[in-house]
Amino acid sequence: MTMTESPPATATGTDGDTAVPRIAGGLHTWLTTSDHKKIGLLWVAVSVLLFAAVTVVGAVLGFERADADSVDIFGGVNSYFQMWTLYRVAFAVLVVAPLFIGIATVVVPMQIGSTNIAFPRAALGAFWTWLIGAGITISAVLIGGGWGALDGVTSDEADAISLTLLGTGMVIFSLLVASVCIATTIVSMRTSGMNLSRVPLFTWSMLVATSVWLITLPIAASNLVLAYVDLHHGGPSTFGNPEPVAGATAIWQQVDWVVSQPQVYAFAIPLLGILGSIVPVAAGTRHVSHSAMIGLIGLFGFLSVGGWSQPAFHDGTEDFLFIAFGLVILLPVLGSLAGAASTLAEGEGIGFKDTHLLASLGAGVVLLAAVVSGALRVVEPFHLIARSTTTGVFNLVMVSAVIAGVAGLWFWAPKITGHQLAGGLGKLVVLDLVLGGLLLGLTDLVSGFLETPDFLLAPPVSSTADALNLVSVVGAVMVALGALGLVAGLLGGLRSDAASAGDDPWDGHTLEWATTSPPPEGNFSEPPAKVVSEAPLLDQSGSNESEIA
Amino acid sequence: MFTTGFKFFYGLGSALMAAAVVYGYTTGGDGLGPLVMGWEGGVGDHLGYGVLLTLGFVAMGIGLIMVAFRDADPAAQSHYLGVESVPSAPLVTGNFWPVVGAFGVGGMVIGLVINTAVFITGLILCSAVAIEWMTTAWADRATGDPDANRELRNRVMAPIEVPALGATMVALVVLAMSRILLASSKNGAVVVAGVAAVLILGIAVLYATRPQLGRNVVAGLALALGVAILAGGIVAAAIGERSFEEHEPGHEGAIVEIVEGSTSVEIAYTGVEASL
Amino acid sequence: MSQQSTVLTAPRLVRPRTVVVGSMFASAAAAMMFMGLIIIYLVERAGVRETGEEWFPSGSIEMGPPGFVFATLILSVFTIQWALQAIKADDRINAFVALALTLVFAAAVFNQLWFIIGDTGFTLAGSDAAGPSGQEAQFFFFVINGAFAVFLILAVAFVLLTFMRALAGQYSPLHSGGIAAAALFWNTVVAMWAITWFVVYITK
Repeated sequence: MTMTESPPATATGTDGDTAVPRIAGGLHTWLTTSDHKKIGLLWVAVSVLLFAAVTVVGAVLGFERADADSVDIFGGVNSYFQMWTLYRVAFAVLVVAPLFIGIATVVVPMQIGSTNIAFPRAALGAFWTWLIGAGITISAVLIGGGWGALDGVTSDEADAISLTLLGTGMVIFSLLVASVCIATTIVSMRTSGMNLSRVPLFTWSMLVATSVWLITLPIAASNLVLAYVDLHHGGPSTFGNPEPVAGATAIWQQVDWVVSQPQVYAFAIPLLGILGSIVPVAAGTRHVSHSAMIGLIGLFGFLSVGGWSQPAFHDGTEDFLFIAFGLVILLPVLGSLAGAASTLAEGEGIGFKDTHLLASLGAGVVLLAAVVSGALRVVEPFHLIARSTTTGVFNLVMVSAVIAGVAGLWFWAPKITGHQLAGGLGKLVVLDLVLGGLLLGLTDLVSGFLETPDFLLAPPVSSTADALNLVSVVGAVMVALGALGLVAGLLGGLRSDAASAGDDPWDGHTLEWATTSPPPEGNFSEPPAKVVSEAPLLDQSGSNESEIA
Repeated sequence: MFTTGFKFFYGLGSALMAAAVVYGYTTGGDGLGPLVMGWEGGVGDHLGYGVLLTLGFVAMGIGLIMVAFRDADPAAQSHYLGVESVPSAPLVTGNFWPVVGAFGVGGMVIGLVINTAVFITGLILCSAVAIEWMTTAWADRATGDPDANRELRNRVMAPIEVPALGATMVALVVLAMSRILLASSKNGAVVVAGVAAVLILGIAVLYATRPQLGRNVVAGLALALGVAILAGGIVAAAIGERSFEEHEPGHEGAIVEIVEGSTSVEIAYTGVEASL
Repeated sequence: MSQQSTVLTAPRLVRPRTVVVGSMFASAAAAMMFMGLIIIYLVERAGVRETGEEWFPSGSIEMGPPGFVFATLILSVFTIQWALQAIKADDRINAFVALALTLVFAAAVFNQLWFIIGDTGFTLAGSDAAGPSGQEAQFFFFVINGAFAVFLILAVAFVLLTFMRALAGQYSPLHSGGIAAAALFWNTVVAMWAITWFVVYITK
């Protein structure tokens, strides 16, 4: 038997202006698809819906905190604690990480000239496992579970808490499987000529992000396993300790590091890639230093590696390395923003009218606020570690990541939905999320200076703190409204009568813009030409121009 | 010589190892401890040092594999295969098994908390998925003709799948019906049995006559069933275990004594046979 | 009666590194999860020892059987690499024998693990007589050995699936990625025991 190489089986694309969206399909299609674009859309759609739900929870938590004396929405401090912890975990692993995974699942294979994602069935399985894990985790918290109980775990609550721990583990497991699919795609499925230094910056940032998630989130899984086994099988150790410890629960103390500095920054790594991908296109020129951005994103990834600083085992908040990580991470963010500004300065006639450009710049600004707040938080004389600043940093990082997700969705909507998303609504959402996010995060930063504790419900320490709590509620409500706007925008893009996108509406530089909108099965009607730089479409247009000349 | 992937992962690993040493010395490490993994001297905070060092080793390991494969660059892969251009990713057909596997994992997770039988059911589902997955992956690459591959896969698996699925469906219906009939009154059970028979017949007729409609309907029903089973498990976790009355031989009734305390009424086990 | 014959084309070439790269990332994640448990074990053991208390009761853990497990696993490293080299040399019979031997060694390891756990007399919750630190030690003993057993089961499943696909004639010198991927994960799991052996059984 001889081995034969046949050309890739691809469908012929149609012209973008008359393309019929191929994202529709019955339930059977969505349950069985092996098309990376459909799988990615599933991740995006559910994470956006969960974003709306999470922000509503955040707003309600804000109301409760703003008037802790008279408002009793949750019926007690313990219920407040359960929802507060759910808010943090859900924002990170049920909204931000899956949103980026969804966008990457759609876009990354096209950016590297691949016909599909690696292990498409595993990618689909990861989504459904994540969805079921999310359902189990949220349900378990709602029936009285959570990551421990402030008033001690009763035997009635033990099962629900065990279910929360295992549900969280299931969510982490599925995120890891999805990460393996994306990282493997980037490493092993690039088209001819595209070595790793030539991959688009979003793709590179996803390689860095998934690598960091793959080596750090399993540590959280081991924390969860210890807590579950201890709690469920007799409690010989302290990991599943049912009694509260130092104002939190023993279980939460082991999970808390995932959503705290430095690990919390790991969820925002793709933001730098989205910024680095959108800005050169908006400027109509190459990025001033693609290779420097590769290094800066890698440095940001290194500085967001967590797991080594777990307060449950060692209070390392005054350690040199913790402080150094918190301060040095300013460099890659500042460097990325400087690179974006320089690239924009190189361009001509930039109108700042595109939603994706505004969103990517807005995300960069909010991330800068986050890392500055984080840097202030680790400076010892300020004593901000156990203060509301912690929540402030968390909210700023998460909202900045979501704004970057908005940028990605509006930018790559032609490839994700086959249509453009509404520009007016998009700008409104971006403005709302940027302002809301800054209000939400920076008020908690300032409250930290006023000695407001991190999460415990307590009367305000001063009238200023009281006023800041109210401002924070306004920010939370704005973010919730932004989430609803995002849902509306995405739904609008999924309508069959939405504005037609065109194959390359932004004059893109990378390979995803070389195919139709929506892309056919197999992504490309013919294999992309050999890649010789990080902007293959610019190279092609350059050679065309020289040929014409 | 040094590929980009190698530089990133090896650099990440080296930086993490350097961070481990710095962390070790700044958290109480002494002597050569942080440099020699505590062989001589202390390493400071064990957890932070250990995690950073392990992360460093793992990242460096990835870096070494990356350079061994030349980053799995397209040129390196085409050179390995001895072809001019690297092959594109194959387009594989979709199937239900990833979703079934997800429900299997969900069943295992809920079963670990509430019931071993549910855990084992989830485990069986996951094992079935592994076998199906393996067979499909094998068939995908059996020949260059997707239709022939599909037929090959069906020829191997259909004789196992059809009876197994049929038996599972019958078992599920029998189990569910037994619970409903036991909970119904004598006359009600007759009505329920009749309605159930008509429903089963009706669904079977509908599916047989409208197979195109059936694909999405079956998917919806299967999804609803899976969600219902998992939701039932979560509700069971919320309610807790049902308490059973256990009768020891020779004891006929409840053995309780009501004791009025100062603030509440307590029911205490006395061990003396009595009746209320 | 006429006979219909169909000419089937050869399967398309696939990228040779995809499965190995996927296995590399999965192995890294598995290693970090296991090492997370080991590191916390070390932290807790150091904490108990600082108080002057005993971790495992003296004489409760034998040195021999864990060493035999390690020796068996080292043999399995040779057999899995043998399988990989054999398939690369298109020597299918040797590949089948090597994969089968690897699975036999795995069965031997499970048997020995079962013996070790039974021999210690430990329970997951720890006996009251052991005291708080002894109970914690027993808890960790079960968690770490249990986690290793789970990873070994996953590795066995991986090798078994590879074995079945090899029997079905799927691997070749150019497409040995499946066996290489299984070997990578297998070796990672063996490394897990090497660390467990040293940390839990040797330095106790």
